[in-house]
Amino acid sequence: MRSAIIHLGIIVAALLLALTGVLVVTAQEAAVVVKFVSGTLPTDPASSAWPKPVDVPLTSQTLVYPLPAATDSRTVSVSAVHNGTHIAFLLVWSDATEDVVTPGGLDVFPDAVAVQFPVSRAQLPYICMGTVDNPVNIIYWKAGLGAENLVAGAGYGLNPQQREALGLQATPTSPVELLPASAQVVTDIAVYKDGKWYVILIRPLGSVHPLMASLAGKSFNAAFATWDGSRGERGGLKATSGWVAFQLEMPVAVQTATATQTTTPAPGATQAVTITTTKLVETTPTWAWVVIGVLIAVIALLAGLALRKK
Amino acid sequence: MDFFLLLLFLEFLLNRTLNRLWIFVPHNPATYVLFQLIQWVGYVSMLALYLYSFFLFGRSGQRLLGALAVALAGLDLAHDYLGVGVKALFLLPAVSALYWRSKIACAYGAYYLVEGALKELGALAAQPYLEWAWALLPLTAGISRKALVKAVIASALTLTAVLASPYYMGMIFVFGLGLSQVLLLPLAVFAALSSKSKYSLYALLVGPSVQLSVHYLILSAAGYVDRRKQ
Repeated sequence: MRSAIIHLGIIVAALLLALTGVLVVTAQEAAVVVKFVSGTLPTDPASSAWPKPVDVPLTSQTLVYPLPAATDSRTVSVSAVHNGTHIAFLLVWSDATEDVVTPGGLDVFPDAVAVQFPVSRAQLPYICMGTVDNPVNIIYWKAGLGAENLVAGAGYGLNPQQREALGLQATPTSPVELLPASAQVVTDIAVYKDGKWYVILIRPLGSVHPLMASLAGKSFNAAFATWDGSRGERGGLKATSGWVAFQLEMPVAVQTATATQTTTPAPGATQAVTITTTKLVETTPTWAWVVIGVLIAVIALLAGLALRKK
Repeated sequence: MDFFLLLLFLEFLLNRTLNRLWIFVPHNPATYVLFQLIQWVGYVSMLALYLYSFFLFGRSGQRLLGALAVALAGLDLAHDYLGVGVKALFLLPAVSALYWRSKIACAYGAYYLVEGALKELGALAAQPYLEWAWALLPLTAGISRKALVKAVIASALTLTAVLASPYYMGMIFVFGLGLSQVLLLPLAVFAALSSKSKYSLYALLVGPSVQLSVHYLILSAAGYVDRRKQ
């Protein structure tokens, strides 16, 4: 009876906390910190501007035959920096052979890397290139061909009119599609040295197309894939990661204040003037969650001590 | 199933699995209501686990451990919300294991200490190797002969599900447990269910890679729950 009352009390207290929107539980997944650099983003993989990389494990795909050996494990080292308008990723991975394709060439499967972002932030899309109602934006770099800005998952969910408005072909020919030329805004720099690829991908932080992910804000998610051309890897034959969290370093936050001023220039006529000002302010600390989290913990701890069986 | 384990099971099922798989469910008013229910019950379970873990620290009478748990949770929150703290909750299962004096709590404490430290260092590449240790750790408490049949049936069912649909089952466990090698799951289920200690059930539901701060608190308080039962 006594423990039933305690359990009920815990549930009621948790329900009350949930109803008041309390956030006292934090994520413990490793996040890649996107370092803030002022000015130009680094274009040299050896630059000291790059932060310490995070090794992201890649698991060989399990969908397309021939399946790779179960013991095949790979990683891609990821570092990222941003300057408030653009973001640069440095991706480094081992590959014993340099497989570079020439445009139009069919004799080589090129080494490649891809970075996938959710288009919508509402919910993480399906990791295997999204779904019709939750697409992903992909930067696909191939040795010798450079980077393309793509969208996957969206095509079959749009009618021809919507597709035309978005600058896509009237009928989708593949679940993965090239975004229109106006959205091809990714710059790539690649170096192959000592059995490793060093690929830098630079793109705007914001989005320039409805089907391109915006990475602006405090955080975003991304997933990675690599292809080893000498093993015949292409298309679905690749090594992929799960979703990886990224946190943007923000020394200062941009706050935009909008005020509407109404003046009456002449009797009977109203003119609305919108004044928008932008100023730099310190990031507002959400200290309340820390205080509430500690208070709740102390109260629960004391309740436990008080109700302790002697 | 005890109340603490039930809350953790609900948090795993609703908060980490079903709500993340909702993209496969057709959208209509009925499924929307169901989705809201899943979200709310999952959220309430998570908060109840936070409260109950601290309640159990208090109930254990270990004031120092309780104070350390509050301090580490405060620093963890301060790190995320103020940018001044440190994410060191991964130390707690190892420290608490010293209080509960249980072999399995010490083994898991050491595991989650390494797991947390590697995450802090950004050495995610080691995670797939650590998963083997996570799957086999329940054996440190020894095998209960009485539980063998139940464990074999459960692991056989898990193996069938994984083999029948590596695509979807893989995603479920990658999302829910943070387990990248899904074929390790039947082994982990067998080892956890056949273990003499119930502590391994908490670690099974938390997974090899901790996703929420409350999971470290649960793993720390689970040693006390397990000791009380023995």
